[in-house]
Amino acid sequence: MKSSAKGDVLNVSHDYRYQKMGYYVSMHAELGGNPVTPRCSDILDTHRNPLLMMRAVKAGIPCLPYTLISRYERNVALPALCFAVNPYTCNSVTAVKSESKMLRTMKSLSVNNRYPVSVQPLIGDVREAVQVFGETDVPEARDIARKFYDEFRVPIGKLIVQIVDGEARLSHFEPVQKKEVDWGLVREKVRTLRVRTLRAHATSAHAI
Amino acid sequence: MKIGCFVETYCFHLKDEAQALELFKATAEARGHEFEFIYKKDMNRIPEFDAIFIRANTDPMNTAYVVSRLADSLGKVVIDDPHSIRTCSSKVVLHGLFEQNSIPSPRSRLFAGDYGRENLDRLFEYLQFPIVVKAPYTKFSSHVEKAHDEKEFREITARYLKNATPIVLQQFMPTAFDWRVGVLDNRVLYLCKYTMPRGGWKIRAEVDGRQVWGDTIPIFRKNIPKKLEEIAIKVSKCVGDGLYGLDVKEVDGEYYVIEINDNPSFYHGQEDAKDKDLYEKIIDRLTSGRQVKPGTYKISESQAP
Ligand SMILES: Nc1ncnc2c1ncn2[C@@H]1O[C@H](COP(=O)(O)OP(=O)(O)OP(=O)(O)O)[C@@H](O)[C@H]1O
Repeated sequence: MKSSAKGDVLNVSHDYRYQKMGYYVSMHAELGGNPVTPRCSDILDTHRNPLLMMRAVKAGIPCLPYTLISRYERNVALPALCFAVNPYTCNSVTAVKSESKMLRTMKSLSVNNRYPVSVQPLIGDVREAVQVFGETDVPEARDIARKFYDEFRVPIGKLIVQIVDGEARLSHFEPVQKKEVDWGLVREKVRTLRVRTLRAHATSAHAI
Repeated sequence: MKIGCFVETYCFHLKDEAQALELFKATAEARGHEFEFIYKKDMNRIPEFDAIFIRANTDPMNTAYVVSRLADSLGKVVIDDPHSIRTCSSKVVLHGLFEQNSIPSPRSRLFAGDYGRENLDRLFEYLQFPIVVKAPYTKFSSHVEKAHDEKEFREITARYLKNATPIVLQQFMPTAFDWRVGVLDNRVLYLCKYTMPRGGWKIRAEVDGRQVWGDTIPIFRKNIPKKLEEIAIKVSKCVGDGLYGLDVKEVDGEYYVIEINDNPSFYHGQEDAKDKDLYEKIIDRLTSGRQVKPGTYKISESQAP
């Protein structure tokens, strides 16, 4: 789905992963010199856990600390939440409570040591919050969803958060399944955004 | 200054490549810097370094991209910088860059799978068989093939389109060698000719499942043909002021750019055979404190956080 006003492109997709259609639409818009939401560099950042965390922390989003490991290590504090750090990851979130599970998880998430794995302490309730233009149904994650969208401008995606002492902290981002999205809400959001954009243009036209 | 050189174990498999890496290290140390090879397991340590020099294969797909982006965001000098990686690693991006900046290159078209008769006829008429088909993210000539007729064209393009859309189609431009122009800071750093292996049309070919290269003929950079230099610098200025290797074909005294690569390869005795100061120049750039600046062709970059 695309809407365009004065060359601005809004690229709405449930999956922006590298080399997927959602990514290409943004790439083509950028190549054509059109300002696009979301931008390719933002897409790439959100899909790699350390890059997501680095920017989220600076944007004032409460986050969990992470460490990167490239192969199985014995001294990782357990329980832990692990994420694959590769561009096609989807459904890689794995809770690890034992050493034997750690060994197996590292093997599969690192794709036999090809990619690093991001490891975070598992200290809260893990929740998945589907984020649509900064909004989510998960009440504890509302603030994070809004800040996430302000910083990264990725219209649709799944935020993995941990609820620690009643407060949400960001752990990870992933693409969503098509069926997980409330497309009615998406359409409405796109409509209001378009009206706002047109109004903004009308106002600036007045100013001139 | 402390330089971290990001490598993976395969970077040391070939003797000449390993020697070149050791020469980077020796040169840095002779100039009073620290130089350490770092691997995936050292990624948490990026903040310790002043500069990061990436020698592992770059592509937004690889861990090297994460290293580049982390280092760049931390304000380090990093070669290759994330913007250059994103630009150079996609043939589709380069197609747009060449077109919009009027860079002489083989006739090219993007193809997204429109097999309609009219479209095919138009493409075949414009490009003429054989047509070179390229996947957007090919490296080491692995997804560059020649289609001699419509049947082959359909077979190859269908195969490539399974993994990526669009792909690139090009006019076939056979030559005995590719010019390789090494560029740093928008200046020529080294020059050579990569010749094709016997009977081949690409500088790398697969013979009995093994990679074979043609010979490399090193040339002093001061002897670069003027026109070639102008084109190479013009293209590099579109991408940025980092380190690049351009592949250029020469036909009847005219130059046609095939691609600009970030992360160009260095094999001791080849790229460094004439202008041996390339090691110093790269180390000096890394320790200059000056981050690589994107060129005039910007695909939009997020603010470094
Ligand atoms: N249009 C063309 N006509 C003739 N030869 C071509 C053409 N395009 C590419 N080649 C040759 O095919 C080889 C690979 O092409 P290209 O550089 O585009 O792909 P690549 O996979 O990025 O390769 P590499 O990593 O080796 O640079 C090169 O040796 C180049 O000279």
